Amino acid sequence: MLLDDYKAAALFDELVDEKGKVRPYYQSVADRLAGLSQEELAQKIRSLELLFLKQGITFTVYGDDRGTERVFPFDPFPRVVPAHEWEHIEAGLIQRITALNLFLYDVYHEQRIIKDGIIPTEVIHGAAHYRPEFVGVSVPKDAYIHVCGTDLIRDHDGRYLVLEDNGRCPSGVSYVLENRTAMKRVFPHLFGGGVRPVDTYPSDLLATLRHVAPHENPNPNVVLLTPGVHNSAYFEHSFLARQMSIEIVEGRDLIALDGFVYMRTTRGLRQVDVIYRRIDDDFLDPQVFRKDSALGVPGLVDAVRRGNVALANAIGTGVADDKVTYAYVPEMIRYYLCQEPILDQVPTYLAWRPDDMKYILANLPNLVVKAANESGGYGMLIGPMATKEQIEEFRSKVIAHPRNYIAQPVVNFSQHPTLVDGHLEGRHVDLRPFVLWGDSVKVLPGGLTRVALKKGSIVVNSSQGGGSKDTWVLAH
Amino acid sequence: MKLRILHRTEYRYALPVRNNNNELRVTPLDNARQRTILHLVRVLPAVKMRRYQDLYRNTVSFFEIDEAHKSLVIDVSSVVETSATPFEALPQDALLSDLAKPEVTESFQPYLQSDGPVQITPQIWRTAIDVKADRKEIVAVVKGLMDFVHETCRYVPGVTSVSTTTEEFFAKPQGVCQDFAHLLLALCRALGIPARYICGYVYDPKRGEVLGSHASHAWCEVWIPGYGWVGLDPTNRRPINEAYVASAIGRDYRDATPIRGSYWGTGDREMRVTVHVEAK
Repeated sequence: MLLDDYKAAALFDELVDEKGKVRPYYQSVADRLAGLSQEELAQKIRSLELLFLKQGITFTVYGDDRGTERVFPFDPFPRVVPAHEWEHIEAGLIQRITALNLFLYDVYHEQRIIKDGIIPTEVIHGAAHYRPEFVGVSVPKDAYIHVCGTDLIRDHDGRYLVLEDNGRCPSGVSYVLENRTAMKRVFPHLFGGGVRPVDTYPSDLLATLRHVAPHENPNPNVVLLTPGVHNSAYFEHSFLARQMSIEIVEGRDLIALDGFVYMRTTRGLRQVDVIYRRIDDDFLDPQVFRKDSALGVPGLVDAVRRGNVALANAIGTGVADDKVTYAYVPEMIRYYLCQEPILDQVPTYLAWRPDDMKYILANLPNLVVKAANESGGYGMLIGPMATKEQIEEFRSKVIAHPRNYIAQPVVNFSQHPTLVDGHLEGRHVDLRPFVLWGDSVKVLPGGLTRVALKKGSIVVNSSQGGGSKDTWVLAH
Repeated sequence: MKLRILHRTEYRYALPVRNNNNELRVTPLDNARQRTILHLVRVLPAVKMRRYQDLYRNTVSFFEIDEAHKSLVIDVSSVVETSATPFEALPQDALLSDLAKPEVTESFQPYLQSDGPVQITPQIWRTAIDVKADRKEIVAVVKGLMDFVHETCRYVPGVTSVSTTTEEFFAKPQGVCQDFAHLLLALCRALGIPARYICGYVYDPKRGEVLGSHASHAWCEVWIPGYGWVGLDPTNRRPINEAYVASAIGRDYRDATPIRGSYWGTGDREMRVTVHVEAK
């Protein structure tokens, strides 16, 4: 009944195929969900909402007068990824993070990929998050991106495409874990077995962090550095720290002395070995980066340089997840690994290339234009949905700062049935899997499925009205 | 069976070296018995990686580092799905006499030769004939030869080197999987059975039961008319099963060396190799 009036649109639908038939790997969950009466469903949704509110699963929206903290909207219809699809995604993600980490090593050492003419030097030097002061500085285990959140979308044919890599401080994993907990509590009967668990993530993350401890310290002190309670991801920071049983600290809780970092405790100073920092490079250390930052620790960067403390992710990873650099990731994979990319990505036009610029300016109403160094869906133009004024505004921005803009064709990405007022409607979804780069590379089975709750919208960011779903990777 | 292989080789040089050229044969073969899901070769310092296929259709990855450096890390990670043919399913009635045909001897010439480390000495030849006795079926003979190698030789690391020949090994039968494999090759070839050298990895579920699982492993394949190549592991006295992942084929060790390199420099070199094979 719930499924009877569900209509697939003229794009890839996760649940049904082009003939309107439920895909085999969705059958059991769809049947179980359809077996619920309207009242049962409504009641379960109420308990879900209550659960999220009580747990304090919130995020913060900047620039909204109605208050900043919101409950993260959740849709109970889980997204299902069959085992063979996941095998492909996992291999592609591991290949990608391997290439990105080699690229970062190279950029901060010999820069062979530039010397060999694969990536123009302007691309590197023009990236806002490139840190030339770190060229020649070694990081523990040569690991740069320890935690990566890569956004995937599916095109018209259901092909997974990489939309972007988040190699600085990717967030959202706490929702993956909380969504699963909530689903298990409220909809236990939906799980028919064979859904791969996600609950090992905190221990895997901790192992990843301990792996980079300086001087091979077998018992390192690992802390999580947060900008504080006003940050949009503070819920996640406290959640992860609690799950890993490590201290959560703010900049003012730390002090750098003689090239070492210490934590202020009630029993005096205690040395810190690894910092899982959820704070951007710019704010880490006022002596090196932004002078006006009160969030960081003066002297922290010096301790990093001396190799006495490890940061995860390392400083300067932003040069790899820059939207212009993104266009070169397939080339990196070919260069360092001599392989073709396993996962495709969205064609990208770079405004600083004269030919691409011409194309962009001529086709603005049909393109998505993004600022190279912004995240969270800020600073973006979606051509087909924009007003004339918005298009003209971006036209002048692109002309003024070509290095700072890229454009991509609008990908009509896949939709997934989503509960709207008691019935199902298709809404656009993406997927952000999380990859951990430690002793070995681990990909959390699943990831955060974000759903654009506004009808027709393709912006899934929580700050722009997106919600999320539980994501089920099937074991077989 | 889904196996994950991590093969890490680390070199530390006491003094900086340059012009470091390396050739790797570490890519799992793609054939009916194994399917590669993931394969990555990561080298630090970061290099431009190149690839080609050699005479034996092995995938060869190679790279060079011209600038001075003091360390080199080669990290190979693979995920492979394997299957295996039970030994009983092989054509038990294929005869040795089926091999004595010009089309066989011609097309398998490289795998019938006495060459390099695989020396078919008169003594090895006599032994092969003695072990064969009255048997005429290839499968039975090959199994007899494998049992013989396993019973005669002892697995002792550190006694032999990469250049030890079958003649030397047979005189003092203590060595590692590579020596076992070379000897079985020599015995098979002495009887006209085409036999080739395989380098790869083996999974040891109980840790400590399967010899050769802590490093690259080596075994043999023999050719059976009407069927094709069949794998045998003389070190562990068993046919190849789904715990095995092959990464290179050749006449002998020289063709299938996992990592071979040269560099310009003096001073000491330290090498550390670790291999982990786990079921996924």
